[in-house]
Amino acid sequence: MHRSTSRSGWFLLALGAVALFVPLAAASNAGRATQTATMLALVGALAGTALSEMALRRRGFVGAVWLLIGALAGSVAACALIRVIHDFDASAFAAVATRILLCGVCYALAILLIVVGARRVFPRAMRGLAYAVIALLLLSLFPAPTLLMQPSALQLNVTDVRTQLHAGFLYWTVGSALLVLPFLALTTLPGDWFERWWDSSAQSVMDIPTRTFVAGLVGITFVLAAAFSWYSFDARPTTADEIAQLWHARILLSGRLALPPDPDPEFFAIDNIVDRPIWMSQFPIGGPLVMALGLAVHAAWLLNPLLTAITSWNVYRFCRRVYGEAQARVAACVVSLSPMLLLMGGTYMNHTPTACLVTLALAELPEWVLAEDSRARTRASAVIGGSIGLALAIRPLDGVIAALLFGLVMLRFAVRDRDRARSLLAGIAAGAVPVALLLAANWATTGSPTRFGYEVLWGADHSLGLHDDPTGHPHTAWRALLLGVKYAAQLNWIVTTWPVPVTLIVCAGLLFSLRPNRWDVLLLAMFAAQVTAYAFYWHDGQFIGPRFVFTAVPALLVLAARAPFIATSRLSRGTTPWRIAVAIIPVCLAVAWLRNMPPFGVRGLAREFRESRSRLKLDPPREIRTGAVTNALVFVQEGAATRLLHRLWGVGVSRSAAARLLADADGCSLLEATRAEELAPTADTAARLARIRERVKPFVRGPGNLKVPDPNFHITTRESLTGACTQEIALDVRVRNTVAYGSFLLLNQIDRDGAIDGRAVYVMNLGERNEALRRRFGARSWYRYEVPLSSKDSLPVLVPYESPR
Amino acid sequence: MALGVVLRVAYLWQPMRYDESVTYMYFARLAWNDAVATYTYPNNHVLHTLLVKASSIFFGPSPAALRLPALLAGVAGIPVTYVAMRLLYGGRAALFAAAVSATAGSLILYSTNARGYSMVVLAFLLLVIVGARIVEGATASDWLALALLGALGTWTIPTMLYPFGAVVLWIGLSLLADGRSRRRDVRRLGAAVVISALLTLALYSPILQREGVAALTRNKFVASSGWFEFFSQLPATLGDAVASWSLGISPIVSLLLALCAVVALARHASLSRFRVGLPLAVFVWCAWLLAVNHRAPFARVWIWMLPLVAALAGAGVLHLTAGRKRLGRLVEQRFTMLIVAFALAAATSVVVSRAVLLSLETGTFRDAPQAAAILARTLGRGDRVLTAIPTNAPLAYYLDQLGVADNMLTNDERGAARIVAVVNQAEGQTLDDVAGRSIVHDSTHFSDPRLLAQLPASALVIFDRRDASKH
Repeated sequence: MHRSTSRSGWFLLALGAVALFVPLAAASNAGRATQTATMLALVGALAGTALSEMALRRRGFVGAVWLLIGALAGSVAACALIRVIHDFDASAFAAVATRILLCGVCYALAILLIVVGARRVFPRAMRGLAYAVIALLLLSLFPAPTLLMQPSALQLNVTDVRTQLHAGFLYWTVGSALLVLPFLALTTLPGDWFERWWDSSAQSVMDIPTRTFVAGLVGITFVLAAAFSWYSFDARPTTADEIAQLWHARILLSGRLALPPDPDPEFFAIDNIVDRPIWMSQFPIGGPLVMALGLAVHAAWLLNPLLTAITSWNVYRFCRRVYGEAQARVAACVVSLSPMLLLMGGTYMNHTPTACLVTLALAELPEWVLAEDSRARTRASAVIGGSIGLALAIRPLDGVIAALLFGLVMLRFAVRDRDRARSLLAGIAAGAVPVALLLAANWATTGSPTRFGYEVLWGADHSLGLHDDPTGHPHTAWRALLLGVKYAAQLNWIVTTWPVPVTLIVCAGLLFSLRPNRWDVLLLAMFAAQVTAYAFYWHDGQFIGPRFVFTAVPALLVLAARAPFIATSRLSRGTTPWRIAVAIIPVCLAVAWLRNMPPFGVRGLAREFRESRSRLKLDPPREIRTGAVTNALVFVQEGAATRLLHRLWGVGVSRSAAARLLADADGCSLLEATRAEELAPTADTAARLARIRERVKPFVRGPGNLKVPDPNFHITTRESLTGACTQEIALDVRVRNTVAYGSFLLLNQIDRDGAIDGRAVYVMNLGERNEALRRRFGARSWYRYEVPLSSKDSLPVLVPYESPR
Repeated sequence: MALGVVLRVAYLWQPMRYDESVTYMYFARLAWNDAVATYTYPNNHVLHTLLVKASSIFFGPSPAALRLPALLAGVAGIPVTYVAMRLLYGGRAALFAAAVSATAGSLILYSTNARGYSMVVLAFLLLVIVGARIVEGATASDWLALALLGALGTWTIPTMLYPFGAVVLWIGLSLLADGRSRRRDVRRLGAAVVISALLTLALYSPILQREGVAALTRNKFVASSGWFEFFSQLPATLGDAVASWSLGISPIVSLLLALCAVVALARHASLSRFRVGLPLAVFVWCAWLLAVNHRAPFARVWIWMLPLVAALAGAGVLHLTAGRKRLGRLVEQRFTMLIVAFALAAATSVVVSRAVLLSLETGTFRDAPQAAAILARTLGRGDRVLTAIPTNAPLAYYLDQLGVADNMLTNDERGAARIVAVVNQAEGQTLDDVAGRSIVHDSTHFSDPRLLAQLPASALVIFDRRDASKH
């Protein structure tokens, strides 16, 4: 879409990007107020520009100077918010306003340069898309990711991705030059051999009958995802989220929405499972319900691989309808060979069913838009509504994003066509069913249809927006920017593991467009909306890359797969650029999949996950599996900090308050305060928390800090040690490694009354607190399942509870 | 050519460097059958070692004699550069390349360093000539030459795989680009490569028999590194290689020539008469080999590329000047004179900058002859010399030449009456680096250090035993 005679335009664009980045770079290591002011100025400038454009467009051509004035006005207007935003509470108004205005001038200049540059480079119809593409490049590749390399990123509790970004930089530069460039260089060899080879290869792929292709696609994707599950995750849940949802699924299969609270919740608690006033996971009912289907057929580990396979089929159907058969086949292959999709498909996470449902809606959307038959439209509308409703019941935010985007598309068509408008009702009705079920489940479990388990467990601070998170860390506008940048940048690392960043391929493809394709715009919007929405969510979702944007990954992959098609439609056949455009994705796929180069490439990634989380990939004791030991109570030992956290939960301290206490208090004084509460009669939790806070001493970092096996158990000095505290530390010293309790919770059985039962009951080893279980489980034989200090490996063994070993 | 010979001969008597000293002390001094079968270090460039041995038998073990094979290969490289590059880019670019070859600091350095690198450069250039002949219509002798040169080059240094593979790939791609008429030649190329591989195996068989395959393929200098480490190190070593090519030349001139080379690469189809460019094959093959081995090689491994890059720069210069009337006419009319002027300027720059002498490539101890003379006068029985790499091997060589017992560098410190530490300041060594782990730090047994001699680039420091009488 760019004009070839536009070198000055590109120069201005680059200059504009630099000007845009300067205030951000300057604020990267500054204080909270400065960072927020910088962000506020940016938002004000962008809003001002957009409003000026919208207001003046009706009159015809909008001069760039008007946009500059709009940006400046936006920044000035942003000053009105200074007194409303708490980040500025400790700062003088004049200082903040000056900062905002200075940044505003810089941003306005940047916007002017970018607008003028874009007008020189891109035709009018393409400018909107061009701005989006430029933003994607700046955020995902350079320079925004450099903000993540600053120390302030760590201070804001953003996962340290510096090593990953450094590795990515090496892979995309040196790796690309070494692994991709030679193949691309070969395509420059003279003759028409490449075209002949390409035509025959493409023809042989296109000659595969559609059914065979789809069956192969679904089959291969399923097998690959199952293989990843087996190889990388041992076909087990390896995160607290998976465990919580599987536990909830077990509860559902027992015929209840939730279990009655256990009398000793601290022994069974997991940080994302609600244990009072009822026992269930914090997650919306949809995810556990889906898992329950898998558990019901005793093949839960194959459920997500199956849904991953269906996702690739959905992508194929969507692309076939809107882009044609050839692009559909390429896109489907790219999707089914995405390591992020396959790895996530190998887990029990609820991202996979959500992505499957959203892509199902996506696949039906062109059918609804393009179908002439009103029946087909109604059916498509119902499928879209139903699948988005289900997605909403699993991951509400993802469902809302999809509902908004697809809803807008559908509304746009419906306003022009009454028949289409009628068909919307079917979609709304179909979507309402799962949403109503979700709300009903909430009502039955939390007492309010709009109250989710998250809020029960973590409080109101768990919600979307800019505020302190449940553990007390501020989620500021700057942190939101960092999270957005992190998510976008990390996708390059993990979505494809290609030696060429996937967003670069997407952007290059879109920059070749002659005019914006509405489906491309929708896909890009899906991606942008997902990243933006989750940037406003405080939690830094980090598992198999940026998991929160997983639902939009198929959209990104489709755009990547489209890039060569868009480019080749503009390039002369047989020229070097044409050949490079054709060859780039096959070469990247081949390199990423076939070359073993840990930590790079698909195999490196799979191995990395295989070697990680080993504490959660443990088998239950052999003695219990074989039946040699029955009617047992098995204690599983985690570290001192986790034990203390569980005991705090046990006395009714909320998850967020407990996390804050553990982070800020001296471990020994906190242990003593908790012990005192355990002995006290039941009282209201608010008073308990206040009493604990009163009793604990703050943890003071210093050279005198005691070094104990669990680094999260903070002890200020040796003087803090008490008898009980010494015993707690001794528990950790006794074992070689701790064992994660999470997966053992799933081994417990639920009896008819909703209580824990079974041949063996697995509980957390809480040291002296274990005696509280004597009355309840005194008739059982007690064991510890731990890794003895003398052990040569990290495999736990079953030892009698009283054994000194 | 004359300039090249003069420059090389001028540096022939420079002090022995670390690697070449090791070549002589550990390999060339051995019996013939041991020299071909020992590979305790990849330092043994076998064919070159044998030639060094022959030379030392005929002319004695002087530095000049040990360097004779490298010198001959380096001198021969100048006209061969002209012949090879004329085939690729025409006479004028070839003349430019030959001028660069004659005066390039790194080629001078390795023509006066008893190592096999100048032989590999020569082998590559000969392979290019053979390759060009094969591409244009091969004879049986060309195939034989290809196989022999590949095998002998690889016998000299296994890193010959880079240039040999590049030329083979170039020939193969050229034959394929020529179409079906050359299918038979493609098969012959395969046969030549197999013969070359078998021949190489046969030549290396004594080493394989005595030391095993791992000595060649998995020694600590060539064993694969982790990918992260590899990707981190490769740009630095490639940067070092490019920097070493312009040894003694102003960076601005080097940069301009590099830009001309890039222009020539971009316009390669119009500058070379071959349909498939040799640079393309070089890049593709080297990238593949690097990706297979994932170990960043030493910068000097790439020295064989220098004549090719020089020819590209020449072709680029000619291409750029051809577009300008006056400049083009000047180059057209006074080309030979300009080349001679360029060569003289480059030679002057190399000599005046003393870049060859000061280069730390392959490890140096510039004061080795003087230090050895002082030590030979000073040392007595039971004394010990402390050195660190790269001081030890050159010092050992010169001490050996002076007839000093070689155990001075190795015998037990605990029994030494005096200990002399040789601090090679040119290599950035300090007394702590050399004597940090020695017992001389035990002040109850040894006196404080005192300077025995301060040489231009090093210092000899002596520690006397306090209770020397007991020893």
